[in-house]
Amino acid sequence: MDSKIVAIVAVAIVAVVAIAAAAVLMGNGDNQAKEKENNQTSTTSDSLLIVYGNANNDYTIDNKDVELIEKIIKDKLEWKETYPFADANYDQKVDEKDVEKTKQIIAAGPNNQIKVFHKQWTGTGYGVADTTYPILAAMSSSNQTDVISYDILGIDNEIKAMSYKYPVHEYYDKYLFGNFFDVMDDEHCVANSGTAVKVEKASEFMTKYGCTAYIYSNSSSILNNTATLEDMGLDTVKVADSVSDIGEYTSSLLLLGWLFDNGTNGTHQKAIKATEWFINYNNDVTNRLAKVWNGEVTQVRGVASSIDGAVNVSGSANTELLLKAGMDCPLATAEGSGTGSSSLKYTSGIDTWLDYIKLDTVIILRGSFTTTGSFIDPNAPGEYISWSWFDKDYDNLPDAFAEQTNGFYSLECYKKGQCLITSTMLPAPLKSAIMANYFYAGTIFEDATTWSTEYCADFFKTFLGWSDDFLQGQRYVLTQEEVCGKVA
Amino acid sequence: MNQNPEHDAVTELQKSYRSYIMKKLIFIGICVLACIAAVGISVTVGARPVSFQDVYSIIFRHLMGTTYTPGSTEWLEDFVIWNIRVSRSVFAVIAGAGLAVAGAVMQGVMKNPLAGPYTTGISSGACFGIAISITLGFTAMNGTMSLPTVILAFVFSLVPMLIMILLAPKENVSPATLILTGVAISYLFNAFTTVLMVTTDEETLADVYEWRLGSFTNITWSCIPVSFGLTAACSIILYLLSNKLNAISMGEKEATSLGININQLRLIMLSLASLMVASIVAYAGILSFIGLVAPHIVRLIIEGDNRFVIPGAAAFGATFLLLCDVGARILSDVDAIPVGVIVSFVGAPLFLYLIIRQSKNMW
Repeated sequence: MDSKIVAIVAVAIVAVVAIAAAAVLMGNGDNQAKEKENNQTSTTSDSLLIVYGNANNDYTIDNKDVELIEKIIKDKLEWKETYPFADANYDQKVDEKDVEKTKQIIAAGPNNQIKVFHKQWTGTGYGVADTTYPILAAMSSSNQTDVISYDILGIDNEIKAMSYKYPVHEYYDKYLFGNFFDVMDDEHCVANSGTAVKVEKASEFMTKYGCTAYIYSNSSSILNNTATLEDMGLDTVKVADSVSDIGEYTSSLLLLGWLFDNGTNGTHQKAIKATEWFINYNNDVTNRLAKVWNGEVTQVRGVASSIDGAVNVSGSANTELLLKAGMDCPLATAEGSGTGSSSLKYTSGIDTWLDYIKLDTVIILRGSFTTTGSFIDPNAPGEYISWSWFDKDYDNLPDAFAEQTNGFYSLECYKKGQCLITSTMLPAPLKSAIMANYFYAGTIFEDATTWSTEYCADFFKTFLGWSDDFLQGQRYVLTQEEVCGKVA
Repeated sequence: MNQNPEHDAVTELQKSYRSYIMKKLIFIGICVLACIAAVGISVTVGARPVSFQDVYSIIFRHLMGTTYTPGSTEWLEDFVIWNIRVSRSVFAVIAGAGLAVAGAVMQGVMKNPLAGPYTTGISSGACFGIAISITLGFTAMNGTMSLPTVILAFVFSLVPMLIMILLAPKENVSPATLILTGVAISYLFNAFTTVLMVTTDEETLADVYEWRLGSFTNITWSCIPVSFGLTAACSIILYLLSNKLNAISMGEKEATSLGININQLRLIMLSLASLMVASIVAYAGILSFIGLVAPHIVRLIIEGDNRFVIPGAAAFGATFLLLCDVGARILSDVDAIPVGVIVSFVGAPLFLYLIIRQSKNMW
């Protein structure tokens, strides 16, 4: 009997190892595909309203879509490849029901909400979801990139509750996120993290505020109980964040702006305006960085660091930003340490692995210690603000800079004064612009800051309504050389 | 005046035996009542403010088939109370009972007081099977469980179980050695799971991580049929075999002389215990200490007769886990603290106490 059991155990162990190896290889295959995608120069997908009923693939649903659907039916046009959103009721065919559905969508409003089908970002691609339209009240994640999008659309009145990990209003920039501080507290907390929005808390807000949706993006943590939330009647709307391809991001903005438009708040028009702004910005950046992509200009090599002692690698949004800024990131395909990590530990004097990688710069992205995303006190133009990083207070800028960059003091680029700090709270495209402007000054840009500063100012004026006085002298990047001088 | 002393002695013995049995039954009865009371409390605890009376009113109306307008306050309250709180409470009973019974059986079969689903590596093996299942895409990202996942969890829980069966009968293997082996196997499977977590995408990682914590956050009625079916069936079979388990506890020679095929019995009982553990771990993740502590506490009170230990452990384990879950929900209304953490906080000191106070009489 013993020998039989030994044989069974041996077979079982072999089977376990074989299945485990298969699972690991399958996982690696997915990751390799993702890595390849990351290394390619980005191509922009189309910006459009990804709602079924938007037959003509523009930014809105109107009578032109009804006419097009009727034409498709009448002339038996091919639609699946060319006009996929003509299938307004998502039943895999285009017929009179889709005409009727589209008319209902056009006529919908706060007093006659209907369900609409739309593409739903899944993190790796698109699925389809149905959502009550228009959304009059919703819950959302408090991820900074998401909240910036809500700022752009002006939906602060519609967001009634948020999920967050810590008292974010103590650490979030009050100028960038202040409109949402009244829902960033325990009373309006729907989850302590994004992994599982708590069903009971969500139901409480559904009753109290009439919330019909939970909005989050692929920057937020994973929502893993969507089925239960949907069964309860809460629509979960996942959108692409601002680190994504500009086409995907603007399509997400259009989707949210359209879903939240109640006929009086103008969110759809704001989304269209934002879409056009980001497309123009992206075209400008792409044109300017063409010299980098075609090799005329040598790429700047850099890495990013988002928290003390950590260098961002594959999977990090900051690494994506560097790549979008036309930089070469030698760690773009490196795996992080620890489960699911997108960073590797590095501290000068303790670790040495980064010392052997040739770098032109380290970009330190820090949040929570600037206002307006800038390092200038808006109430005292020209004066650097004193700020606190969590519970620390800094009396002067060089001390603060030194502390934030101290982990890299042994690197050659640090010794040459080539590190810089920028705010992680800024929208992703602006962060890329800041990086690109600084490092390609003299080759692509006239100087290190003018172009990106103007973009940032235009963004804040356009979408947050900041005045020229408020924006006077704003700085969005602190360079080591100007603050501390060259170290060696 | 003719008294039969022998008859009196027998009568006295019978009375004494009945009293002895009655104490055990009373304890089990108290545990069952405590479990029912705990369920009664559990359904009233949650983030959504619903009064005590309203909770029971909603449950009663639900059982009577009352329907509401979707999206209305009554509809939402009915949804939350019935689909979240009641289902979660029922699952906690099933999980607590199943893990405690599995622990009691493992301790009896291996004659090892430290045996349990976690210390033998069976929970970790099941968790690895779940990680494989998620990585291979058998489980939907929204927490919906599939039968292939339970099957994979069971299959991978068999490896540590078979190793335990192989080692348990060896005379030169001490209880500590056996458990150290189980711990080593547990570490091995945890390492395998970690490798999977490191190589997979972030969405899969989040799912697997949640399971490893041991949480009831995503429990709904869809989790009940498989877990209840397997736990109930296995528990009944194990209870029916409890007499034979008692025989094994007397010694292998004694058991063999009673016509029991010890190896076969070990294989059957441990397989059933592994199946129960796998069906629970598949939905709730690793919940340590229940299988280890609950049977010991029961034995402290009613001694080691498995005919009573098994049902007693089931009732006590169910109550214990349910109260831990209630505690977790009271501490945080956003489920910030998984129930597995609370079980460890409570179970670890209890376990230390048992180690210090362990009485050999219970064996």
